[in-house]
Amino acid sequence: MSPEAILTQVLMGLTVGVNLVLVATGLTLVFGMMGVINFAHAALFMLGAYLGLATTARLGSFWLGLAAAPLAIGALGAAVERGLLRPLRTRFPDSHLLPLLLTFGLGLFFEGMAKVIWGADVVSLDKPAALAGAVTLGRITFPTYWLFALVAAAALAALVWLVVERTALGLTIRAATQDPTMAAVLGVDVARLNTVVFGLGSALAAAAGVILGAMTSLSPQMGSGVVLDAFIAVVIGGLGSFTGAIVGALLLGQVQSFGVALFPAFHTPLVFLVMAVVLVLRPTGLFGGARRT
Amino acid sequence: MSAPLRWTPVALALALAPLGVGRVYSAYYLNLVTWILIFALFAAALDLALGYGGLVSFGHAGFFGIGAYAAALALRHVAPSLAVSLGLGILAAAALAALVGWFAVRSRGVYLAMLTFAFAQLFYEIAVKWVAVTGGSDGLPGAARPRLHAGALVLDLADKRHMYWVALALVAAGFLLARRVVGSPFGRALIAIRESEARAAAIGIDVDRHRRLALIVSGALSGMAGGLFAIHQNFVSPELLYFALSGEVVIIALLGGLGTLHGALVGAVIAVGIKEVLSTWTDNWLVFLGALYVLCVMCFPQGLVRLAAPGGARRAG
Amino acid sequence: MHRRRFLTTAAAGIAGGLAPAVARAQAPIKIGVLLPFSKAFAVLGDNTLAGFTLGAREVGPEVAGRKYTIVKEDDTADPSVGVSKVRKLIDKDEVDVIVGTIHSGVAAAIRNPIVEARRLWLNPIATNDLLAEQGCSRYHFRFSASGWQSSAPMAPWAKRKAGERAYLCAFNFAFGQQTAAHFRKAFEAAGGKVVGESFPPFGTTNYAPYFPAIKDAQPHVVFANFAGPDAVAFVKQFAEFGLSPGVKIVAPSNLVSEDVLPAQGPAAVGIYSNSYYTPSHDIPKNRWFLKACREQVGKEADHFLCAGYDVAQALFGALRETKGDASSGERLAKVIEGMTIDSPRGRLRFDPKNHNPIQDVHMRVVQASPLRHVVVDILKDVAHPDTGACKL
Repeated sequence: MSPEAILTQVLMGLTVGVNLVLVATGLTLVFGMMGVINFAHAALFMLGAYLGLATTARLGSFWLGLAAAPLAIGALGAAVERGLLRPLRTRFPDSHLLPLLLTFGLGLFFEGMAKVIWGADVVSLDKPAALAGAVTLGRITFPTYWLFALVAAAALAALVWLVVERTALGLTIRAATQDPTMAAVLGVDVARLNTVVFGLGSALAAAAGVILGAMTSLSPQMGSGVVLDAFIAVVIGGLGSFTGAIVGALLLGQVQSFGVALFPAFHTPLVFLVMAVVLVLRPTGLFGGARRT
Repeated sequence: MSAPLRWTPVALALALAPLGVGRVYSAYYLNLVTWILIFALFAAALDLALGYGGLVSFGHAGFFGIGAYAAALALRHVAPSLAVSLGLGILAAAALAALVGWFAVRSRGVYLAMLTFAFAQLFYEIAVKWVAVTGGSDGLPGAARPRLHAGALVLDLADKRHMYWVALALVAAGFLLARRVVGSPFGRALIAIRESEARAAAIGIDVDRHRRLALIVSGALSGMAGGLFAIHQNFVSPELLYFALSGEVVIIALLGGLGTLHGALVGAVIAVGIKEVLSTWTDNWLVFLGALYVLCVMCFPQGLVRLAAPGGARRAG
Repeated sequence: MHRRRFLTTAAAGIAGGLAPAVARAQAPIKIGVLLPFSKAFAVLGDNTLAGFTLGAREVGPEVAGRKYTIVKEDDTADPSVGVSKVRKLIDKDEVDVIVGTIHSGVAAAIRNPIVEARRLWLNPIATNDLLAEQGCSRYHFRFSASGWQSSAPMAPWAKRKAGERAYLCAFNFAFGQQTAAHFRKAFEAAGGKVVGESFPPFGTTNYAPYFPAIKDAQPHVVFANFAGPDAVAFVKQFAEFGLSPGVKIVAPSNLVSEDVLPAQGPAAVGIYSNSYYTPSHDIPKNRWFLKACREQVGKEADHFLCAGYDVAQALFGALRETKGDASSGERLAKVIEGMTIDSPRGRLRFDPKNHNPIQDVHMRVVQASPLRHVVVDILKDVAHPDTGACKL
C-alpha cells in the first residue's frame, strides 16, 4: 500500500474508532467501573437518538436536541439504577448475571416501546446546516459533520478522563470501584455514587446516539451493532481502565479499517480474532487489572 | 418427597402428551413442547458450566449450532441415521469446547464470557461465508429424516409423535447424565472451585483440568441439543450460532435458577413457550417479554424453581 | 351380525364422508398470513399485509359465497420461529392457504413443511433463487422477483448507460452475495469489467473504510445492494465522502425503496434501481392503486403493498374459479398457473416452469423534487432463467 493509501485508511479507521469512543465512554463508566454488564446501553443509545430527533423537530435546533437528550436519558438511567438496579445489587452484591438479566429485559422493553411510540420506520436525524458540506484533504473528501464527531468524541473523552482522573468525584468513583467496602467505611455514599455513575453513563450513551444518529439513521434496533463493538473495545482495553477503553476503541477502528483493505475476504471476523488473541495473551485486557472483579 | 417422585406427574404428562394429538389438541403443541424440551437440555448444559462450574459463557450457541450443522450435514452426506448424525454433532461440539477450553481456561468472569463469545461468532461467520457447505445465510434445508429400527419397532422421525418421543427420551437421558456428573466427585470438585478457587487448588484439585472438562461436557450436551433441533426442525441456519441465542440460553438458565438443572425446563417454558404465545397475541410482544424478564429478576432472583425450596443455597450466579 | 356391522359401518362411512363436505361448505376458508411484524422487518410486513387487506376488501367478506378468515402470525424474520408458526397455522389453525414471507431464510425453512402439507403457498416477497430452482414446488408462487431478476437484467443496461468498469458492494448475506454474483456474470457477458468488490457485514453503520478502494478502482458503475438502515447509511455516506461524481449507482429496489428513501433524502438522487413496481408509473390500474392505498389502508403505495395486493387478486381469483373450494392446493395452484393478473405493476403472469413471475422490469432513477423514482426504461417480460434445476 502506498503511504497515501495507508494514511487514508488510517483516517477512515479513525472515524470508526471515534464512533466507538463515543459509545465506549459511557460504557466504560458503567461496565468498567461499576462492573455492571449493561445490556440496556444500546437501548439508551437509541432512546437518546429518538429524543434528540423529537427535540430537534419540535424546537428546530440540533444543538438543543444534543443538549436535551443526555439530560433526559441521564435522568432515566439514574431512575433505573435507583429503582431497579440498586435493590438488586444490594441483595446480591457478588452477582454479575442478575444485573445482566435485568438490563437485558430493560433493553427489550425500551426497544419495544420505541416501536410503539415512534414506529418501526427508518427515520433520519438531520445534521445542523452549519455542519453540512465537506472539506477536502488532499484527495480525500471528508464530511464536515464527521470532523465534528471527531472533535466531539475527543472532547467528551477528555472531559470524562478529566473528571475521573483529576477531580475529587473521580477519585471517589475510582476508590469505590476498587474497594466499595473500604470506601463506605471512609464515609462515601456508595449507593448514591452508583446512581450518579449509571446516570452519567446513560447520558453519554444518549449523546453518542444523537451524534451518531445524524451520520446514519434511526430505528429501534440501531444500537446493537455499534454497542457490541464498543463492548469488545472496552474488554480489549481492560475493564476499569478508562485509558484502556479509548485505546481499545481506536485500535478496533484501525483493525476494522485495515481488515477491509488488506483481508477483504475475511475482514468480518477479524475483530473477534483480535479480541481472542489479546485475551489469551493478556487475560484481563491491555490495561486491565485495576478492578477487583 | 424425594426429587424423582416429585417429577413423576410431570414426566408422565410429558410421556403421554402425543396421545392427545388430534383428539384434545393439535400437533402444533407437540412441536412447541419438543422445542421447549430441546432448549431445556441446552440450558441445562449451560447450567452445568455456569451454575455449577462458575464458567461464564456467552458463546454456548457455538456448541449448539455446530452440533446442529454437523448433524444436518451428516444426514445429508454421511448416512440417514440418527445415531451417526447425533454422534457427529456431539463430537463436533465437544471438539469445539475442547478448543475453547484450551484457550480460555485461564480467563475469568467477563473476559471468559467475551472469549467464548468470540469463538462462537467466528463459527457464525464461517457458516455465513462458506456457502458451498453450509448454504450461507439462507440456511440448509434438511435431508430426509432418519428411521430408527429397534427390533420390531420402527420409529419414523418424520412422524411428529415419534420425533417427540425420541426427543423426550434423549433430553431425559441428557438431564440424567448431567445430574450424574453434578453428583459425582467431579461435580463436587467443580462446585468447590466455583465457591473458592484458591481453596480448591489448595486441597489439590486441578482447577484448569476440571474447568476444561466441565466445558467439554457442557459443550457436548449442547451439541446434542443442537443436533436434535436440526433433525426436529429439518432446517439449519446461522442464527443457531448467533450470540443472540447464546444470550437467550443464559437468560433461560437464569430465569429457571442457576445450579439446579431442572430450572432449565421452567426457564425454557417461559422464554420459548411464553414468547410464542405472546407473539401470536400482539405485534408488540417485545415490550411484554422485556417487562416479564424484569419482573422475574426483581421478584424471583434466585430463579423460579427455588420458590418451591426457599431453604436452598442462597446463590444467584 | 356381520351384515349389521357392515351396514352401520357403511352408513357411518357415508355420513362421515358427507359430513366434511357439508361442514366445509359452511366453515370459513382460512388464510394463514406469515410475515415479520416485529423487529427490523416490521414495516415491510405491515405494508405487505396492508396490500393484501386492500385486495381482500375489494372482494368483500365472502368469496364465491363462502366466508373467509385471515389468521396472522409474526415470524420475526427468524427461520426457527417461522417453522414453528407455520406448524401452528397448518396443524392448529388448519389454514387452507399460506401467504408468506419476506425473509429468505424463513422462506427456505418453511418450504418443506408447507409442501409436505400440500397447501397452496403464495410468497409475496422472499427473493431467494432457491425457490425458483432446486427448491421450487408446484404449490409455491412468487409475487416479487427472484434475486437473479433483481440484478442480472440490469447489468447490460448499466454498461450501456454508464460505462464498462463496475464495482460491486453488497451486504454479506445471501441476497447481497448472490445478486452481486449474478450482476458480475451478466456484466462480464456484456463485455464489461468488474474492477473490485466488497461485502460489508449486515448491520454496518460506518462505510468509510470501504470507500478508498471504491474510489481507487475508478468505476463507472457501482452495483450496491443494502437494505434498511444499512441502505440509508451507505447512500448518505457515499454522497458525503464525495464518491458520487462520475459514478452511477445501480441497485436492486431495496437500496432506495420507499421505506428508506425519505431518510436518504437528496443523497439518493441520481441512483438507478430496478423494480417490478414504481409508484410513479402511470398506468390506469396504478393510478387507482395509489389512490386506494392512501384512502383505504392509509399508506403510500410501494412494491410491498403491490405484491400483497396481487397475492390477494390471485388467491381470491382462484377461489372464485373453484367455486370456493379451498380443499385442494394442487387445484388452486393449477388455476393460478394459468392466470394473467392485472397488477398495479402492469401485467403479471407466472412461468409454468418454476412459478416465478414473468413481468416487466422497470429501470428507474431517483428524482430530486418530489423525491421519488421515475421510470426511464422498461425491460420487457423478464423471466428467471431455466437452469434445469427446477422440476415441477
